[in-house]
Amino acid sequence: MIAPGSSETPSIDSRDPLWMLNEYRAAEVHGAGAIMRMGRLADSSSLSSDLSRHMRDEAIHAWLWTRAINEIGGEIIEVDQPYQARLSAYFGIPRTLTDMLALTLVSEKRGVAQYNEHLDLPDVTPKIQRTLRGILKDENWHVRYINEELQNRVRADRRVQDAIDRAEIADERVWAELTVAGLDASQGAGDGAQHGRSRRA
Amino acid sequence: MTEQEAADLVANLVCRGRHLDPSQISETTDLVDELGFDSLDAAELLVALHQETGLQLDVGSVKDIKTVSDIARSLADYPGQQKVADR
Repeated sequence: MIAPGSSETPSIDSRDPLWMLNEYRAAEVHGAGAIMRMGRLADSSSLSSDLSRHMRDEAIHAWLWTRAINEIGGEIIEVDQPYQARLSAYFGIPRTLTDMLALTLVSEKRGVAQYNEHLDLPDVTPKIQRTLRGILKDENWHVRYINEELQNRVRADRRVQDAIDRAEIADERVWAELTVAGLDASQGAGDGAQHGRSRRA
Repeated sequence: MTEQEAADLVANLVCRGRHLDPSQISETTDLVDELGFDSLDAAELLVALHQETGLQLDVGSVKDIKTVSDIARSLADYPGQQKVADR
């Protein structure tokens, strides 16, 4: 998953559990598109193979969230993706494959953290728990293989670490902004929700 | 690299990425307004250009992506055509 993020202009109540599932779905759909493009740019057969598997995972995850939404009688809606938009704004448009990999690494890590946080919430239905656990197995592999790919590149050229550092800084800035935005929104709503973390399905 | 060579390269990469026939674009094609380029398209193009030339064009946002010839000019004018290794 490429991390979702809180919504800025919801067309439905963003505290609705369906909103979070739609955010997850949108993030997976976006991720499939991003990984497909990286796959076309892969500079080794092993990376090409890993990215192909990763793309398959993103597409399956999007389908799983689509099915989960349907099963609880929800609708597929368009949701904003402020995490991606802001990450790009802070980092700039990636200019190298290494830039793309670094941005994907921080996004995947953020996605893993969000799915784990969701799992830790009370009142998560068994069906959603199973979906989260299944997807997390794939997500953890995504983080692992991208990290290994980047570390191999760091060993060949230490400047690659600069791209990783820049991506991590961008991610932290975005998350800080979104957390503040989420807190502001929840204070307005008066329900104590913050950045989707207390929303559940 | 001459500006014409750069324009040919950019056009080829755009066509490859968007599955277009070369006859469908020209040097004045606006990639955002006419082809609907988004940030992912822009990233794919910049990374492909880096892989082909070793040059890293600094594009702040997709709004800075204009026409094929604008990008070609940036490539041709790249300071000293200094190549920056990716890895």
